[in-house]
Amino acid sequence: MRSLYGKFILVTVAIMILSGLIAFLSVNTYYHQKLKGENDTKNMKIVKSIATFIDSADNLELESYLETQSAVGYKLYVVNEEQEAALYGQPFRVDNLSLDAIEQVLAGDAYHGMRDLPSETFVTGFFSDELANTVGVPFTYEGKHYAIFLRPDIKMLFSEVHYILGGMVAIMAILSLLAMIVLAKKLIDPISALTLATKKVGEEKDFGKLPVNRKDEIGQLAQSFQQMTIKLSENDRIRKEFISDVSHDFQSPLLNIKGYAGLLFDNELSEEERKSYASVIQSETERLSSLSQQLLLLTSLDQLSSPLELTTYSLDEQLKETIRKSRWLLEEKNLTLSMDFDEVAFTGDPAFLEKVWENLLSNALKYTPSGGTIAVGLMDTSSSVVITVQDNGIGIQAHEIERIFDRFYRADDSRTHKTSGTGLGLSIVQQVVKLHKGEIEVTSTSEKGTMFTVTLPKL
Amino acid sequence: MTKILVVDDDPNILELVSIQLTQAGYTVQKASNGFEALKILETGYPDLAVVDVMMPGMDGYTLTRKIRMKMDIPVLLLTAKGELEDKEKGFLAGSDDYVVKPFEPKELQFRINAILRRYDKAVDAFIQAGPLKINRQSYEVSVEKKVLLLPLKEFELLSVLASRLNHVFTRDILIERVWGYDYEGDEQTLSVHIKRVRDKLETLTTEVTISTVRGVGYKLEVASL
Repeated sequence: MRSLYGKFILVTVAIMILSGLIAFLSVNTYYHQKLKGENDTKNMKIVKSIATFIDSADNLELESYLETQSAVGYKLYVVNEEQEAALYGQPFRVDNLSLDAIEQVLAGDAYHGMRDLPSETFVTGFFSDELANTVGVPFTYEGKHYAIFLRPDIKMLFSEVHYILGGMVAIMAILSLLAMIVLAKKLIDPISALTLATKKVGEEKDFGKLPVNRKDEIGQLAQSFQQMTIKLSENDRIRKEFISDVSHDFQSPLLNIKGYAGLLFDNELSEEERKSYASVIQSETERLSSLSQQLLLLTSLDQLSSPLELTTYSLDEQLKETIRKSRWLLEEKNLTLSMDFDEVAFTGDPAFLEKVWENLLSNALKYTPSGGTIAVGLMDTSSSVVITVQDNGIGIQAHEIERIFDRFYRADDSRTHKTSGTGLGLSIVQQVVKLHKGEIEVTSTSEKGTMFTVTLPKL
Repeated sequence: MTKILVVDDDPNILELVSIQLTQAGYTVQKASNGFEALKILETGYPDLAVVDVMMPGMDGYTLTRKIRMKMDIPVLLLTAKGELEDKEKGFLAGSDDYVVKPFEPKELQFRINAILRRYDKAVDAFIQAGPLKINRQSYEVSVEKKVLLLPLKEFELLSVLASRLNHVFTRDILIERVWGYDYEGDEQTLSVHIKRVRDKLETLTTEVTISTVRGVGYKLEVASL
């Protein structure tokens, strides 16, 4: 199984084996380093007491005495001067006692086979059932010298312990493995659910319930996934709405152009009619042109990375220049415009900010009736600049104010063509202001006029 | 008829501007470069030149300087967008005004009309009345840093009144100066305009006022401090 399941189980088994091995090695090392000597001393004491007892006892039945001693859990190996050996208790697994050792003991020295057992990495010194792994001392019986070698009969003494320990280890291993499988399932199931959900999102289907109530990382993942899908579907909705708005706004002028161009083919048209049809075509073309320009601008503003190219320049000059370009419009509608500008060197993107002033000004021009007044102000405070554009035009209804920054929204019941405009201007304004970390506010009284206040922090 | 010389190396713009100016009632002379323009200047005697800045061979600044050396006619520059330094260069070369491309035909007409008005009436470009400054070149009325852009008639009315402080201008004189000899409009028009100018003047300063001289006309006064 290539899934996480298989990996979990494999890793668990591997960890068990590895930890068992490491435990064995460290315990064995500890035995060889420390316990070996103590074990030797302990057993030496026992064998010495046996030897002493034999040495000092009178009329001892040696054979049966040794049998009895071995019966309490020891293996005894006795060698006489003629090198004849006798074994009491269970036989040794390996019969590897050296002649030297026997000679040495018969000569009267003690044999420390347990202490001197060579440490081998993968052999348990304690359990090593070898004749060499014994302690030996000499004793005298009926005037003859003997050598006695002793080692506890581990198998006999500890066989129950073996089962208990072994059973414990086995049950632990099986239980951990089972627990691991259950845990893995608990971990993997929600992941599988998430995977399925992502697939369904990819196919634009409903993905059902996700384990969002978990408080762990998977719960967080599920939560962010759900938020992401909500955001995605929101974006999707906005995009679809945007496209339908765009196509509508492209369609209607195109239909007008088509219709009026068709009318122009008529030879019987009066000069006046022909001119008015041509002017409809012209104004609709202009609308399309500015629409595509503004869409392009909005797209460049919608980039994730800031599209701003910052320079420090004179803001009052820019405002004056923007107003200058609209002089003929002021003249056409007999408007009065007042300016009250502080001199300000501002750091921002002049190209985008120019669009802001242009749009605010053209709005004011559009919605102010002939003979009206527009006031433009620029105030320099220590931390920011405040630009106001105020008109005494038709104003914006209270319920419309919150929508005026929406794309394609027009206050004069959109697409009635009473006033030209794409409905994109103010969303461009808002976007640019936002990119400059500024704020835009609108206050308006119906039939009294509107005031836009743009506050830009000095960067 | 007013003759306008249009100089642009782009034939489409040249044609478009010519048609628009012809429709606006001007006689148009076309030149596609500086050398052609200078030739026409000698024979055609235009009243005003519209000159594109970016032209191969001789650029608009050079042409403007040469035009100003030969004749005393106003020059209006067509500049590309975003070339703000063009503005200073243009004025240094002696041009009177500029229009930034792309422009609305009506904007160009507005500029041309404004320049020609200025040249027609040999009046002072700047008038000062107390704290009130009137710039007849840029058609701006200002007090300190407050600037007012008035509709043309209101601006003319204020300029006439301000041209002689404390002088009483009769209603007839004012109508003639502002609306022309052949004006046959409503008697009320002047009163309405006076009222409007008064209201707007008030927002700039309280020191300068237009007072009515009963049965005669109006005069501009500066309050002595």
